Amino acid sequence: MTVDRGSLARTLAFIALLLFATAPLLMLVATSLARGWFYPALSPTTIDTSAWRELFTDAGRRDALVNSVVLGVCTALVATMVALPLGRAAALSTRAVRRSVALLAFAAVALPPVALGIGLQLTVLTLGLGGSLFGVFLAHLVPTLGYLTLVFLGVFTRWDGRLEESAATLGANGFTRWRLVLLPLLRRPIVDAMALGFLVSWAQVALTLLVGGGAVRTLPLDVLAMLQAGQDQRAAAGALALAIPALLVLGASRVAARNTSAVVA
Amino acid sequence: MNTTSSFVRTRAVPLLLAGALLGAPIAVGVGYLVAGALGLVGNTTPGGLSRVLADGAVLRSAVLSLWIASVGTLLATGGALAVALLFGGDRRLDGVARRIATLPLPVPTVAAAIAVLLLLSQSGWLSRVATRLTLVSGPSEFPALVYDPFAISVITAVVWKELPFLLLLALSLLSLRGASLKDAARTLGATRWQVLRRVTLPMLLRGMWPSIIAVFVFVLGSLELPLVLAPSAPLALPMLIQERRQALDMASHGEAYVIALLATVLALLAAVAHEWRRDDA
Repeated sequence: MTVDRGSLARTLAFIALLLFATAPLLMLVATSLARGWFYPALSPTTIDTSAWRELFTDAGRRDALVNSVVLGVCTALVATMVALPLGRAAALSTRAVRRSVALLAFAAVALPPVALGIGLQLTVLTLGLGGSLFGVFLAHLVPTLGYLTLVFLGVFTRWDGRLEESAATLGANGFTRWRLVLLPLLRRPIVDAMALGFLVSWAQVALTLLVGGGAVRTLPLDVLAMLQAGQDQRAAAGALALAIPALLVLGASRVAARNTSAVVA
Repeated sequence: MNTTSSFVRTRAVPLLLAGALLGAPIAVGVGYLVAGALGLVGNTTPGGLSRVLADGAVLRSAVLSLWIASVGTLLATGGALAVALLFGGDRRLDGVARRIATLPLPVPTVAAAIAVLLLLSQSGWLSRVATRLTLVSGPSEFPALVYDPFAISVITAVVWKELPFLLLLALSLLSLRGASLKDAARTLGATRWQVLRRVTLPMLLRGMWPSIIAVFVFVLGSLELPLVLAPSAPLALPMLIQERRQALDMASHGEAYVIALLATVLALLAAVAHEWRRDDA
C-alpha cells in the first residue's frame, strides 16, 4: 500500500515536472509558427514559417543575427585565450591568490549588468567607441572573462602536472610544452569554455543596450523590439533561435554548472 | 633570487593578470558610478544620495527586486531538491525525469521570459484553457499573473530557468557523497526520514550554498526578466536605474548612478558571501 502511494506520488510529480519544463518551450514553438492565433483558440489554425525565414532574409533581422554571431565568436575566442593562462596561473598559486582571483572573477559575473553597463558605457564613450560593435565586444568581454576564469580555475585546480614535468625533464621548453602537452590535453575544456563564452555574449541584453546605445542591434534586442511591437510570432521565432545554439552546447552549460558554480546567463 | 622569482611567478603574475583583466574594468565601471553619484561626470548634479535615500519609489523597487530574487531562488532551490530526491535514483523513470527537468537550462533569459509571457498573460495559453473550460468568460476575467504586483510570472520564469542549474548541482553532490553518508547513517540505525533531514539535506544545502547565492545575485541584477514580465509600478531595481538614466533632467541621472551603485554594493557583498561559502577554492 505504501509502495503504491509512493509510486502514485512519483508519477504525479513526473507529470507536473513534464508540464512545467516543456510547456513554455512548446508555447514558443507554436507561437513562432502561428499567424493570427486568436483568442481563445487552443492551437494555431494555420502553420506559417515566415517568421523563421525572415530571420535570414529580412535585412534588419539578419544584421541582428550576424552581429550576435560575430560578437559571440569573438568574445568566446578572446576570453578563452585570456582566461586560460589566468586561470592556470591562479590555480598554481597560493590559496589566498586563488581566492582573490576567484572573487574578482565572480564579481565580474555577479555585478548587475545595468550598473556595470553604465560605467562601461562612459568608459567606451571616452575611448570614442560608443555605439560601435567593438565597444559592445569589449563590454561583453567583462562578464565572459569572469565566467571563463572560474572555469579554468576549476580545471587547473584539479590538474595533474606530472606530464608537463616529464616533458620539461626531457628538455621541452615552455612553448613546446604548451604545444605538445598542455593544449592537446586541454582540448575538451577549451571547446567547452568557448561554447560557454559564446553563450554568455549571445544572451547578453543590458550591456548591449547600454554600451551599444541602440546602434548595435543583436538578436536578443531584436527579439525584445519585436515583442514590444506586438509581433509575437516574430518574437517567438527569435527567442527559439536564441535557444538553439544553447541547446546544441548543453554539454558546455553542464561543465559550467560543475566548475563555476555560477549561472549561465 | 630563487624565492623572489618563484614569488613573482606564483603570486605576482596571477594577481597582476587578474587585476588588469578583471579588476580594472570593474574598478573603472564602479569608479564612473561613484563619480556620477557625486555629480562629477555624466551630466548629473550632486546630492543624489540623499534624494535616493529619501525616495519611497527606490525603496519600493528594492523591496520588489529582493522579493523576486528571494522567492524565486527559494522555490528553485526547493524544486531542485525535490526533483533530485524523487528522481535521483536509477529507475527507468528517473533518468527521463532528470533529462526533462534540465531542458530549460540552456534557454537564454530573454527567451524564457517571453515563453512564460505567452503562457501566463491574460490572452496567453492558460487563459485560453480556462476559457475553454468555462472557468472564465474572457481574457479580462483571467487573474493577472503578468505585470502583477506579486511578480508571479517573473518568479515563474526564475524557477523555470534556475531549477535545472541547481538540480544538476544537487545530483552531482548526491552521486559524489550521498550514498556513503546515507549508508553510514542507516548502519547507525537512522530511519529514512532521519537520514533525509539530518544527513542528506544538510549535505546538499552546504554544497549548494554558493550556487544559491549566485542565482540570487543573477536574478537581482537581471534586466530582461522585469522588462518582459514585471509591473511598472513599482519598477524592479534594474528597470528603475534605466528609467532614471533615460530621464531628461540631470537630477534623475545622478540618482541613476546612486541606485546603480547601491545595486553594485549588494552584488559585491553577495560575491564575498559566495567566496566565503565555497569550501573548494
